Amino acid sequence: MDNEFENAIQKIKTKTGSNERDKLFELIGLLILFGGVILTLIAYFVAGSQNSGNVAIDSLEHNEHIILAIFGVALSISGGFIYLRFSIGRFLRFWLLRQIHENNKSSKS
Amino acid sequence: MDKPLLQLENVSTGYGIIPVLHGINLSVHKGDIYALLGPNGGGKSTLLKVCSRQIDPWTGSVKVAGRLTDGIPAEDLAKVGVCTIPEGKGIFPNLTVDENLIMMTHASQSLEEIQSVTFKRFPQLGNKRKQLAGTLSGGEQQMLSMSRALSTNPKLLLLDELSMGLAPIIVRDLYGLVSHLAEEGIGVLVVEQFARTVLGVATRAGILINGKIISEGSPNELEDQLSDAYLGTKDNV
Repeated sequence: MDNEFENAIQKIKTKTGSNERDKLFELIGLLILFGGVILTLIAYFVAGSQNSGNVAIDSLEHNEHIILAIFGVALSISGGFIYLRFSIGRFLRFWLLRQIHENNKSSKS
Repeated sequence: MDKPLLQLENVSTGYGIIPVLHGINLSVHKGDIYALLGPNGGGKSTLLKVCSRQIDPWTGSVKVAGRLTDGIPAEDLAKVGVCTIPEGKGIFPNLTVDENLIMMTHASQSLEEIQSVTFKRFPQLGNKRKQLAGTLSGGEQQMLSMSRALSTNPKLLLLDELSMGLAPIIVRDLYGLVSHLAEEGIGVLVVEQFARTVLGVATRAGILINGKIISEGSPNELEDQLSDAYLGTKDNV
């Protein structure tokens, strides 16, 4: 066979897909998840430490911290979804490659 | 023996959920002209598209020069020497002959080289360089299309219905050219509905019906089976 052609074919790079991008989004998802948890905890502890003795003022302060805590929970849930979406994408890609590999192996035998 | 230039193993594919090809096995070696024959709708053009990776196989493998082509885009295969001449000429009808030749420079050949090879082999195209390709005769359009196969230095040529709509004498000329290319070491896979002309130059042939190769062998062996295959008079459809 024409070695030049064989070499040219061997040199073609296949597209590696978006594995690197998936990893990055996975990391961002995890950071948002834990950031949300930390924000919620901070809101909880700060709210708990504020005890001026005036119930009206304290409950107003607490409302702000409750809103902050809910925002933290929402962040955690969003981060969790982002993490799940991209980690499942990576897993499915791996699973698909395995299927192709198994398929090729069985068609050869 | 050399690795085949093109090898299909148990290839099945289709469009959407509709299967077209079922378990195709074939190989084309250097210098081979493999003629794949069969009536309309048998899956011949689909098979060529799988070979050039314009569509992906559902199962099985397509190897070019021994390498599995999974994940390789069609344009990369074309750049290194897998040349497809599609059904319906595959030229740009709204561009002139010269402009069509410019479009052939994708595989890094210079325009001068392409023009020189084309006009030497097809002098009549040289007189119509400024003419729109769509206004050329059918034979001249096919010549323009074939000039891509001549000038881009392919190693594997995939021809779809070369004879469609052409006078027998032009078809004979074009197949003479294909035969000459094969002698230079190019592997050729040609699909045809009208079988007699291509069988004269083919080194191997197969009959494709309803997405399956029902028979394979030397052109002489297959010639006798063609009528039965096309007319469905045997248990093959």
